[in-house]
Amino acid sequence: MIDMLSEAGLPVIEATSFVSPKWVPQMADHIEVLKGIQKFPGINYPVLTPNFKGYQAAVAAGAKEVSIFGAASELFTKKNINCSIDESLQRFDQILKAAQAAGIPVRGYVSCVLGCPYEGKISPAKVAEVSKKMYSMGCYEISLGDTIGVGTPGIMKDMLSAVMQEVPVAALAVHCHDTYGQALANTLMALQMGVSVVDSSVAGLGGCPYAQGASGNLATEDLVYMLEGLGIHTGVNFQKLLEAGNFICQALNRKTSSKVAQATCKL
Amino acid sequence: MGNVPSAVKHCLSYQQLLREHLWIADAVPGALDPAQEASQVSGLPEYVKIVEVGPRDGLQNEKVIVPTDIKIEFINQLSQTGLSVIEVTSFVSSKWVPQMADHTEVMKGIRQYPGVRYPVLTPNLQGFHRAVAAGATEISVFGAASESFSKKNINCSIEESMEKFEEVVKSARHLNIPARGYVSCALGCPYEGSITPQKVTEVSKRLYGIGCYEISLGDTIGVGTPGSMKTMLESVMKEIPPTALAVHCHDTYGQALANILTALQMGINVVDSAVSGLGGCPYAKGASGNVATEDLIYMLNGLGLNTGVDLHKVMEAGDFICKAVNKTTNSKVAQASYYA
Repeated sequence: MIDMLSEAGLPVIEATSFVSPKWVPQMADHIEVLKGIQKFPGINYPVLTPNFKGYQAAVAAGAKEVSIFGAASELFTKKNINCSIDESLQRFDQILKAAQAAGIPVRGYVSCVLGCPYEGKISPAKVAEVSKKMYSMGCYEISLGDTIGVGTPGIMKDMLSAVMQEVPVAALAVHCHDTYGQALANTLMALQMGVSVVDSSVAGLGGCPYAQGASGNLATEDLVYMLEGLGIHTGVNFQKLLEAGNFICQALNRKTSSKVAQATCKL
Repeated sequence: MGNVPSAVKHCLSYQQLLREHLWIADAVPGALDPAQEASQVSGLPEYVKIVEVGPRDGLQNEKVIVPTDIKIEFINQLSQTGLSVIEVTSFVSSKWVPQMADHTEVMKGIRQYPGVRYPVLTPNLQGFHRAVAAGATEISVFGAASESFSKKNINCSIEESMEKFEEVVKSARHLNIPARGYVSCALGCPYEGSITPQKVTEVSKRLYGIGCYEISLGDTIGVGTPGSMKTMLESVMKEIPPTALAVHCHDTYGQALANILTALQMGINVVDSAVSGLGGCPYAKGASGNVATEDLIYMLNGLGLNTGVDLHKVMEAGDFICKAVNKTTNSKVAQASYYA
């Protein structure tokens, strides 16, 4: 799947997560996957490293870029990784220092930027605070995640306005979930505010653990469709992207969550 | 997402989120929550009128023929949600659109709530007379910005169709019956491909000129994106005031809400949608059609815009009709809510 995505010309493909298989069985084969993929020139293959042990294993397996996951919600952090936001950042500091010494770029994710499944509403100021900390600790880019997809364009705008006062817009990305069908509209708002990095998942893979049966990530095909229509250059080969989505859906025996894929494959 | 385990307990249920966190709750007609007000994006209209086309445009494209009493119950439920315009049926020949064969019974059978309007499609004078006889007090006519689409759909040129519509709209105005004009293929045509904004403007202007009070610009096959929406609206708005315009976006390529947001940013404040995203796309088998009213309301509520519509009640009506046509909803909001 990753090789097909590389052929489609995507510049960054998050390959796997160096997390304990006890927590995330799907990622148990992280070493084999990272070693097994074809590394196309010009494409980055970041991997998630939730702790220092994972970071070391990732580097040993050949990782050239890593990501760390923070959150703008204390309760979410507690439930997710059993510590406070500040404690989580202290843990990440170890990774950041080591990565900096090794010349490995680190991407920072901030979850729950537009709402939290436990706390509900999240203040833009809190998102700005966490983003600022992660950026100043050395993350080259901060991906702001609407983890449960509850955000709408106005709230996206307010949140970005606050964050952009602390972190330059060129270092920001948005990661919108489509649980309530708002992802593309939210992404459009972010683009209008100057954000030029967008996370998405081919075929809209991944559901939402907080709303069983609901959808999760924004589908890459639908995102690329909008960007191409807007005349924005992505470098992505649309046909190959559709093929990659089709491939993984067949392997998972599931229907695509991409509307573009649904429309084009049946014509 | 991070290391989230596959089963999560103890988080807020969707119902709880709706109760306690008004930013995703229903808008109270005429009143804005301070949180919503603060989030109100400047430059957007304060009030958005939603035109519910589920019973007509939606059901028309559903394979299962819905019994008349179900249609009536469906419309009656929608009437209680706060929606101010519900497109009921189409007075078209049953040979062409079997789903709408019971147009007279439906029109006579629904309860007409005060403050709610119930337009019906009238493709020609014959249909118009039948509609009036059945009690219709508002009608719509359907034009297109594409010659090929017009020919294939109603077997005549755009000009010929305009002549027919002029007859209908004149008769309607004579009886003080308002007429709404639709322009299909405003952002693309399944036969001609891309459609020029100039053509859309020309057809819209014609319909407006013959007396339609509002022109609904339809992205019939959902191929539009915010850029093409903007260009088209810029052209049309040179000839027709934005207050007389509406957008009718199909979600075939997932672009509907982004396109609607663009239209709102340009001053449009009337949006067509169909509860549960009813209706597929006759040009792309298996693809989706109308934008779901629930998802639209969710976005408008979040933007702090007043709609007067109760999202819960719309979801209930959506649930009702989906069971009746034996399909899963196309609304993401409904999908997220029913499983939470």
